[in-house]
Amino acid sequence: MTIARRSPDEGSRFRIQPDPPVAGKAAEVTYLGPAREVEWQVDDGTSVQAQPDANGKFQIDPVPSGRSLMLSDNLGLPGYLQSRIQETFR
Amino acid sequence: MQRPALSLRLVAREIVAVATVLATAAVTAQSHLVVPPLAATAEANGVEFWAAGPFSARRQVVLDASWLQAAVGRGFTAIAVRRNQGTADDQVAGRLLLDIDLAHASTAPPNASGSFAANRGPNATNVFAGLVAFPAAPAAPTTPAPWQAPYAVTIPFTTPFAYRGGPLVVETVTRPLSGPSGQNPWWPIDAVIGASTGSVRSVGWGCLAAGTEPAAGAELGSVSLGATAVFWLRGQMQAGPATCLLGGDNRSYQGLPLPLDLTVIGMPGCVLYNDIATAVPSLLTPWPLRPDTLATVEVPVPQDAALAGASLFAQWLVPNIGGRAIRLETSNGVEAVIGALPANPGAAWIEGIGPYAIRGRVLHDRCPVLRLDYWP
Repeated sequence: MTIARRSPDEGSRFRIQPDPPVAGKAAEVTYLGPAREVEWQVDDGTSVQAQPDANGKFQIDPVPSGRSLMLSDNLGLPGYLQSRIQETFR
Repeated sequence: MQRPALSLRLVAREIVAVATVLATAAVTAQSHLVVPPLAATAEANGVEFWAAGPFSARRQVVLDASWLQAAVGRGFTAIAVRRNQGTADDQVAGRLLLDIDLAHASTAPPNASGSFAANRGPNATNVFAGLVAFPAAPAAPTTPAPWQAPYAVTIPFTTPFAYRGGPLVVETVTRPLSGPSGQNPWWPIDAVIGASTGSVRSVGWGCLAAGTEPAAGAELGSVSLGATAVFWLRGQMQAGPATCLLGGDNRSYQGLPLPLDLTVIGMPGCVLYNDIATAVPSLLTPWPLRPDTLATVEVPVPQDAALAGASLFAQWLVPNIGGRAIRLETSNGVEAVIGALPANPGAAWIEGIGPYAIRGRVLHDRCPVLRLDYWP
């Protein structure tokens, strides 16, 4: 299991599975932090609000196509994660 | 010089071994309590990292005296956390550096401050400092997870804490390790998290040349009595100053009705949404890997019941500097309705980013499930 990180010595409040997320497929995000609402955004697209459940989880289904997926709780660096999106090829 | 030093090390090692045996014997004779008490026999409703988080943070949990009655006049000797069972995810093993201080609190949880020092009363004691290993742990066969490895991690104190009664501060500083041997743990622990009592909504629109709308917002869980409300602005704006306009009214500004079109003062397309009771300077700082910048302001909400249900309004004023011209722009507005303090919060949660934070955000809606061992 790979945990996406921003840098070698700093973790994140977010984890995403699968990691990296795959375009066109569902991804499960786990968020452990103080925010009630978080947001995600693909590249420069529209920011989407999400409310993690009691176990910090929510789904992105499907993950849109793009270069990268950004997750944020807007509460500083530990509440920020960027993952490169894996494209599916037919 | 080498031989005496070696001998000393051996003697020290023996002392440590003897101490370990004594400590083990003491552990077998210990009693324990679980906070919050409702989690003693049941899985709590939420999940948190608390000190087991994979990022640097300084935290305090101020615990209510009523939860700790059984240990008055005793000495706390260890603390334990257990894995969350709400989902069956595997806990990921890792290590981190942890400092734990215990202190009699200077205040009860509902009145806890954002200042770490202010909450610590007398007898603050560093009870543990060192490396803590979190094991890989699948979901436990029973719920809640048992207080034993690999489903729980117990941290014996090197210095016991004599507890005289009253609210207690448990302060932790978490430092992840760096380098290839520093795999951070992903170890969500069981926690109680209450429902949000406040609410947040976006109001109107902004005139920011850059960034997506709405660029301004507030953190929902932070908007309640006695907590630290967080207002934020994010978007593809230039790094630099930004000012948060906070107001208590959205009907009029100095006699002029709101919303107020600011075109007449040279801000076409911009609208004012609150009465600007105060303007708080902040700084838009870059985020990694993205063109975005982020600014936040933290507003301590007094512990005054009369404020429950009141609205706090926010809007950002941002200078857009291009060439020789400076254009002032505004964000969308934000209305945050202050929620009541939970009936019996039982705990206050203070979290500051980084190990050296002197202040942190106060929340009253959550508490990690902790087992505290004490002398019988």
